[in-house]
Amino acid sequence: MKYLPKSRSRHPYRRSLGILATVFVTGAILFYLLDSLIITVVAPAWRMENMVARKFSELSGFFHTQTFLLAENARQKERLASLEIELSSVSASREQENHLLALLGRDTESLGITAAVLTHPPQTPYDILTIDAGEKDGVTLGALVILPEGSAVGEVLEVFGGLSKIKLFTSSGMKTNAVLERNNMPVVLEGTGAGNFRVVVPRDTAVEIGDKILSADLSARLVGIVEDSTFEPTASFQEVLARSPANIFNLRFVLIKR
Amino acid sequence: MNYRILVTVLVFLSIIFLPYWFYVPALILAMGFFPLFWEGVLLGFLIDVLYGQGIYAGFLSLIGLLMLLPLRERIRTHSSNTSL
Repeated sequence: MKYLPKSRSRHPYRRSLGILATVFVTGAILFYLLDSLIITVVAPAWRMENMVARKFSELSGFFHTQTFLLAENARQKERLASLEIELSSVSASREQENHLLALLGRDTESLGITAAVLTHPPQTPYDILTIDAGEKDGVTLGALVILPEGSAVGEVLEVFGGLSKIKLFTSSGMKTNAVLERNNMPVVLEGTGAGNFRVVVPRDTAVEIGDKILSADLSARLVGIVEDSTFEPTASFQEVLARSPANIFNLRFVLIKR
Repeated sequence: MNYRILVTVLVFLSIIFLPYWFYVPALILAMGFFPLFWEGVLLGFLIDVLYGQGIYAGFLSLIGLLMLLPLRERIRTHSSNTSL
């Protein structure tokens, strides 16, 4: 018995490739044109999610044991006391600096725009936040984003009507000018994602765990805290690993400087 | 209900509400499980629009699907469902 040879197309994937190319091109154009609309439509769902999550966390507190609550209370009191001491040591010198800067016409204490964080890592894969303030609220592209406590965390990446995207300084590959406080040494922070930085400094530079890294502008805001440093015996540079002072996985509010 | 639509909707919802370590593997699994899961490219674009910049996720989804094209033929001998 003779079988007819199978009729095989010369390009077996031609149809599949055509479909994928069409979907890719159409999708890229559509999503580029409709990004503002899509993010505005999804935002109410994020708001609702945040609200529900907050309610649940309040509810879970109801079931804590008395011992747990007492221990938590003691822990929080200790933390409050240490923060008060830290604040008092900072505020005196900060007031003097602000006074001098005001005399020079460089006021750094102007109020920012308060915004609630709608999405943050790990929901976002790129160390990018979405906040509920946008063009209508006066948010501008590239504006500095700080925490209510004062440390700088990122800058405005995209602005929509009532929403904005914030790129954190810890975003992978993002480079930020900063100053290593211990030596007053200018450094370049390179974001490595998940709230971490990498800095390369000469091997002889004295760096210790807990050293502060400040922003390179007049306000000298806290940007990072040194966590570790490593160097190869033959290398002339050392690699310093730092982390953001903010817990980027639990951000609720930020301020956008005008 | 068609599993393909159901999975697309579930991945879509997980992109909006769940962490990336859930929806990225879910998207990869869906691309491997369904033949020519072109919806994955659109879901990749959605990740970019909502959480990122550029078209990295959309592009990576496309690359993934292109790599799966010849692989699927070699590893699947029972693909009766080839409809899109």
